[in-house]
Parts: sequence; C-alpha cells; structure tokens
Amino acid sequence: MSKTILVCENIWKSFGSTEVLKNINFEVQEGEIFFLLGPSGCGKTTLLRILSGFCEPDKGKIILDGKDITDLSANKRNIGMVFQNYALWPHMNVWENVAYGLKVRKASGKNIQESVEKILNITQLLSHKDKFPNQLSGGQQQRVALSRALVTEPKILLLDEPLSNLDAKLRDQMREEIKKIQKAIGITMIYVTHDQKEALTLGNRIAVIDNGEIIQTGTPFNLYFEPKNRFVASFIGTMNFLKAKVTDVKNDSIELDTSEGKMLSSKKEGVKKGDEIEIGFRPEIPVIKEGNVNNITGKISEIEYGGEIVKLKINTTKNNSFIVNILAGKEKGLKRADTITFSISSSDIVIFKK
Amino acid sequence: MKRTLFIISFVFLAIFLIFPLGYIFSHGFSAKGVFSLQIFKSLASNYLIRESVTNSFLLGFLAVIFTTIIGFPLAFLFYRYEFPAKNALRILFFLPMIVSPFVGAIGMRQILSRFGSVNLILMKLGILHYPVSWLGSGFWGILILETLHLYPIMFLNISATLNNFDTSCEEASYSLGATFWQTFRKITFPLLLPGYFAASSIIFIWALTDLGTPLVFEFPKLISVQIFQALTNININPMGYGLVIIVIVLTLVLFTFTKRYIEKTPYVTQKSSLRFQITQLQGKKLILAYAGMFFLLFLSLIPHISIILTSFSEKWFFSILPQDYSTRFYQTVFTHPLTKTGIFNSLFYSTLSTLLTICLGFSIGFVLARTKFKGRGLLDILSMLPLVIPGIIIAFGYFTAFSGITFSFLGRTFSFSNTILDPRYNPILLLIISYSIRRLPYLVRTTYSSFQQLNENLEEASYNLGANHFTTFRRITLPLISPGLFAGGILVFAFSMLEVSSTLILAYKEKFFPISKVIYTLAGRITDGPYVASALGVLGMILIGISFAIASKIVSKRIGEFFRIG
Repeated sequence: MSKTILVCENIWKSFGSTEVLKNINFEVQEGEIFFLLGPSGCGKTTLLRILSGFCEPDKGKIILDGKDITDLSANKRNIGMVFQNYALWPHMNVWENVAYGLKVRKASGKNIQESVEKILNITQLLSHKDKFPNQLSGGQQQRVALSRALVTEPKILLLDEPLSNLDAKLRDQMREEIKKIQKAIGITMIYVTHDQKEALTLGNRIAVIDNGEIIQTGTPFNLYFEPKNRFVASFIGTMNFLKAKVTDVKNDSIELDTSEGKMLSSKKEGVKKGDEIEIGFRPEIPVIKEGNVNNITGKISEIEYGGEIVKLKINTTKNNSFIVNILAGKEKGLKRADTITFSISSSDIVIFKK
Repeated sequence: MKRTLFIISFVFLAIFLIFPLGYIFSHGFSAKGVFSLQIFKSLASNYLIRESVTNSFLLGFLAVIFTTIIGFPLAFLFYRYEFPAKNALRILFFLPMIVSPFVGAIGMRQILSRFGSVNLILMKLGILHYPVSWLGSGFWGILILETLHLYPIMFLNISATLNNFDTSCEEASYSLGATFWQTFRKITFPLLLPGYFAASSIIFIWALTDLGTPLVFEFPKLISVQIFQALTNININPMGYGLVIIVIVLTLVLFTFTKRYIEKTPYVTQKSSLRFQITQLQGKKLILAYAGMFFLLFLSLIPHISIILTSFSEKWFFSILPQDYSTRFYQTVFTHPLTKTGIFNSLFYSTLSTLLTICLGFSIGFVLARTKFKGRGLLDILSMLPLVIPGIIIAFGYFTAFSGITFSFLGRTFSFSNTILDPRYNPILLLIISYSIRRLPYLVRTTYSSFQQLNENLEEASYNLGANHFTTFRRITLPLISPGLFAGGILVFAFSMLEVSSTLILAYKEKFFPISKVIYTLAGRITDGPYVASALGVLGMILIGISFAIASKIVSKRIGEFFRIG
C-alpha cells in the first residue's frame, strides 16, 4: 500500500500580470515517477521551482511527507534536483561534486566515502571519479547530476527536462538508465518534460499542463485512450477528429449523426440528445475491412512508411481526412488512389464535449 | 596585399615595441658594455628605492583590497536584485572611470588641504580645533583617489563573471542543503576567482604605475615617480632601467599567471536563460541599499565635484565653498597660449593616433583572422603585449631608446639625432605612436572578433555574384565590421586625449604639451593655475564622457572589454 508523499494544494503564481500557474492540485505517491508534461511556456518549470523552493507561490500549500514546507527555504527541504543543464560545478571533479551535499551536511568522512562510492557504483561512474565535468560526455554528466542529487537520499527527486540536452540515441539510453536507477533506489521522482514519449514510457502517472492549468492527471494508458479534451488528445499522440450530433442516448451507447453517416459510441458520460460534440479515434484503432458499425470509406491520398508502422492518409468524399496506421507488411496490395473502407469498434470512439 | 600588411605590422611592432623594450633590458643588465647585475645591486642597497618599492607594492595591494570591498557587494547587488533606477545608477557608477585620478587629485587637494573644505566644516562644527593634515605625506590621498577611480573595474569584471555564470550552479548547492555562506565559499567565490584575479591584476598594476596622481600630491617615494625622475639624468645614472625592468617582469608574471589560471580552469559554465532568482528590493533593504549606493557615489564623485567647483570659482581660499563664482577661467582656457596650444596639440595627436590605431588594428586583426602566415602567433602575442605593459614603461622605452640614435651600416653612419624620431628634439611622432600602441590590442581584438563572427559565406556570396576583392571588401566586409572599429576609434581618441604617463614623460617642451601635461603644469602654479587646470579638466571630462556615450551606443556590450583582460 503506497502512501502519499507530496501534496500540492491550490498553487497560484503570477509574474507581473501574467498568471503562470492557476490553481494547481496534485498528489504524488511514494516510489512513483510522476510527470509534469506540457508544451514549453506552460508553467511546468515554474511549478518545479516552486516545489524545489527557488520560487515562492502566491497562494497555496506544499506538503511533503505530512509537513507543510511552503515557507521552508530551498536548502532545508531535502528535495533533490537535477537541472536541465546539469549545473555541475566545473571546479570540482566527479567525486567532489557528488560528495558536496554530504559535506555541507557535515557527514563523517567514512560515511561520505561509503555513500559516494555506492551511488557512483550504481551510476557506473566510479572509474571516472577524478575527472572534471568538462572531460565527461553528455550522458556521463547527466549521470553525475543524478548521483549528486541522489547521494543525500532526498525524499523526492525533481528532474527538469533532464534529457533535453542529449542527442536522440543517448536520450533513449538515459531513459532506460533513469528507470533502472529509480528501480534500484526506489526514489519518488517528479519529472518535467515536454516530450510525450518520455512521459509515456517512463511515467507511472502524468499530469498534463497547458497554460498554467493541469488539464488531466492519469496513467499513460488513461491519457492515451481516454483523453479529457482535444488538447490532451492531440498533445499525446495523434487523434482523428470528427464533428457529431447526438441523436439518441441508449442504455449502453449513444447514436451519433456525422458527415460520414450514422455512428455508434459506447461512451456516453455527460451527453444528452441534441448535443453538438466531437468524436475521435486513434490512428491505430481502425481495421481495414467493413464492420457492423462505424464504417468510413475514402481514397488513399498518401502512404508513408515509418519503419514498423505504415501511415495511410485517407480522404473521404465528405472532405474529411483521416490518418490510419497499420503494421508494416499489412499494406501489401494497397496503393495510392485505392478506395478502401475501415471500421472502428464503438468502444474505441472517444467523445469530446464542446 | 595580405603579405604586405603582415610585414608592415611586424616591422612597426618590431621598431616601436620590441626595440625600446629590448633597449631597456640591454641597458638594465649591463655596465660598461658587459653583462652585469650592478644596477640591481645598487637598487637593492638604495634606501629610497627600497622604500619606494615597498610603498608602491603597498599602494597596489591596498588598492586591490579597497576596490574589492567596494566592487564585490556592488556587483552582487546589481546582479541579484532589482530596484528602481538600476540602469541609471549603473551608469553613474562608471563615471569615476572617465576622469583620470590626477585631475581629481587637483580637486581633492582643494578639499582636503590644511584649510580646505573638510577641515573648515569640522572646525565650524567644533569637532576640530586645529586643522588636520588629511593628506599627510600624500600616500593616503593617492590611495583614496586610485580606489575611487579603479573600483568600477572590479565592479565591471565581477559583474561580467556573474553574468556568465550559470545560476543553477548555486541552486544545485542550495537544493543539496548548503547555506548561503557555504554556497558562496565553495561554489560562487571559486567560480568568480578568474574574473577576480583579472580585475585585481589590472588594478594592482594600474595603481603601481600611475604617475600623475603622486606627482600632483608631491609624493615621490613610489616606483613610478622614481622612474620619472630617473629620466632626467638617465645617461649618468642608469637606475631607471633597473626599476623599469622590475615593473615589466612583475607585470608579465602577474598577467601570465592570471591568463594561465583562466585558461586552466574550465570555468565556462553554460549560461542559464532563466534568471528567476532576481528579487525586487523592498522596504528597509531598499532604503539601506540606496543609502549605501548614494554614499559611495557621493564619495567617488567628490573629486569631480570639487574640480567643477574649482573651475567655476573666482576665488576659493579659507572657505568651505568658493567665495565667488565666475566663468573667467573657461575664457582663459581658450585664450591663454599654453592652454590653447595644449588643446590644439591634443586634438592633433589624438586624431592622428586614432587613425593610426584603426589602420594598424585592422591590419593585424585581419591578418590574424584571415591568413595562415607563419609568425601569426608571434604577431598575436606582440600586438597583445601593450595590454599589460603600462604606459609609463612604453614612454620610458621611447624616451631612452629613441634619443639620438646613431648607427653605422656598410661604412656609413646614420644619425637620427634632431629628427622627428628624437623625442628630445620633437616628440610628436613618438607621442602619437605611444598613444596608438597602448590601445592597439583593443582594436586588434575588436577586428579579430568581428572577422570571426563574419561568416565567410557572406563574402563568398559576393564573389559568386561576380564582385571582385575590392568591391566585396568595400560593400560587404567593411560595413559589417565597421561599427566595432568606429566605436574602438572613438575610445582610442578619448583615451589619447587624457593619456597621462606617456605624455608627462615624452612631452618635454611647452610647445608640444598636450592637455594633460598642461593641466599638470598649471596645477603647480600658485596664482590662477589650479582654477584654469580645473576648467581644462572639466572640459576633458565632458569630452571623454561624450565619447563613451557614443561608443557605448554603438557597441553596448563590448565597451567593457576595454577594462578587462583574459
């Protein structure tokens, strides 16, 4: 049974007349990787800085492990932080960088020796301990930053876009690394990023932020298949949209009227007959054959090979355009200008209220 | 064409930099034509010299300490906090730099003398019963003036270092539980050290080699004054060479150490784009900060204020403020033959030296950036050398090395005595060149970095469209690098107008005096001398102020480079 380690309550913050954070609320469970995901400028970094104590909220409370730390200064919070540009001290070598946090806590020499060695072992940096930051590769610098933040055994670890300075291949590697280290130590992480792939693959839960507000909090699965609104749906992955009008609400489904004909959805929360709404489905949901319900027919206008997945762009006679992804190999026999029909199961139709 | 520029630059530096320095060394280490350390032995046994060396070191050292005490908190205040009128205040704090301390010394004398304003105020308030000799021997007066003149260099260097500083380096320390002092001691200060060393070296050497201020305060027991005085009988008493060599070696050691240190330490941190931690100063803290800043401003502007007051006073004697005011002395400035000649000479010398510096600086910068000639490295070092060689040394070298050169070549004897190359006969050429050489490094650097930033594709695109070298240079290259050159030129002009050390040494006869030597000469005359000198000083301040304003409009960011090294 996990316990709540951090609570963020009604956090507000503005710089001058711009409201950067509007009533932010979330809870983080012990041992999880919690993501703050949003486009740049959405306020996620400010939120992280409020958690770390470098920035004061205008209103609201932060509770760490049952204690209100809102007014506690940054150096008394025992919250670790990994900075976007690592912020390694160039005048200290790896060992000194990592040992610093223990030294300022006046830990004993033996204690420092053991703890630093242990963490450098986990992050595989022990052989580099005498090197200076400018002698290390980007990935190694990243691991030093992680080690430095972890060695003092903080209650939670904040990571501010930690992979954004690495190239694509290294980023994948480091992602695995972070996951491994997190498992080994069991630390709670709050991780800020604008990269949805990072959030989906690493996160236990994700809070999607836009324009200073948390739009939706949930597991990667939740967010992907049950996005709350258009923003979440299009920020995480791709979504096909279609305007619809509710013509009937039944026990287990609703009937919809769209430009592509009559459609059926098994989701019906909060809609009533006559509502103008939008429906959506993910590109990998449709099957390319005629089904019982929700059939759409159109012409293939583009076939794009993207490795394991082939992306079909389909235009209908009603001037709607859809993306349908199929696994590579399944596209055999299809070519541009072919007319095809695909169907969507009524349980996979997502509805968005206007 | 490129090769010609290269050769001309080299020859110029060989004649006007290597030759005089070599001359000093060859005379310093010889006696009766053979190698000898006799001069240094005599120096060591000379009581006055020993005292002068001690005084000079103490002066330099204390100047560093004092400027640190002022410059550090000031830089942090501007870096960490936001407060009303911040930018205006920043400019005001740079004002002390634009007037040479020896002009300020004339004003300070007026205020701190036995019957000057300070004593009179204190006696009126009943705090003092007898006037106190504030200036004493003059040492503390020199120190105060140099501190007030030089603290902006500390402020500027520390600010620049702080600005290049990744603030998350400090935040990382806080997030690990360190306190403010722990963070300052272990993170901030070590990261500031390169900038601090650089500023300290400049300040130390500047204080050590300043000639004008001690001369005005009539304090002779300093290396600079000893060097100056040694020139009068340098042919029979070669002590001066030894003193100059000591200063050169000291300077080179200090700057080499600083440069090495800066290069060795990988202190270039990534600059963070976020500057969240700037906090607005409010309430008591704001009042306290303002009080401190205004007090400092008041102190550092006392020399300026006193000069302005002196220049406008009809008579100022035995009174706190001048008894009567008039603009009489400004009229004198433009009518008196000595001041008139001075102004004309200064304008003439400065204009020519500015043109010379621009041409030379451009040539060398161009050769360094765009050619691969062997010897480029040497040219680079030579052109940067004047950055660390104080003006007094260069002037000393010119005065001794170029006095009556005579040599034989292929059986014929060449003599340059009584020509334009003989400073005792006519110092114009050497004055102009000494002004140029002093500021050459800045223009070389400006040109070099402009060329570096100038993408060669831009020129290639011009060739590609059919333009020839000359057209490309005139239409593409020059317009792109000229703002830097122009701004540098203006500053060279301003510095040349008020160059002190080389002027005092090289301008021997009245008809060749430029402004600063006129000010110095007038300040020593008892009747209206100080008043006219002050009026001339005020005009100089205005001129240099305008020059800085124009130059900083053009290249706002790079103006600081004139006061930094490394």
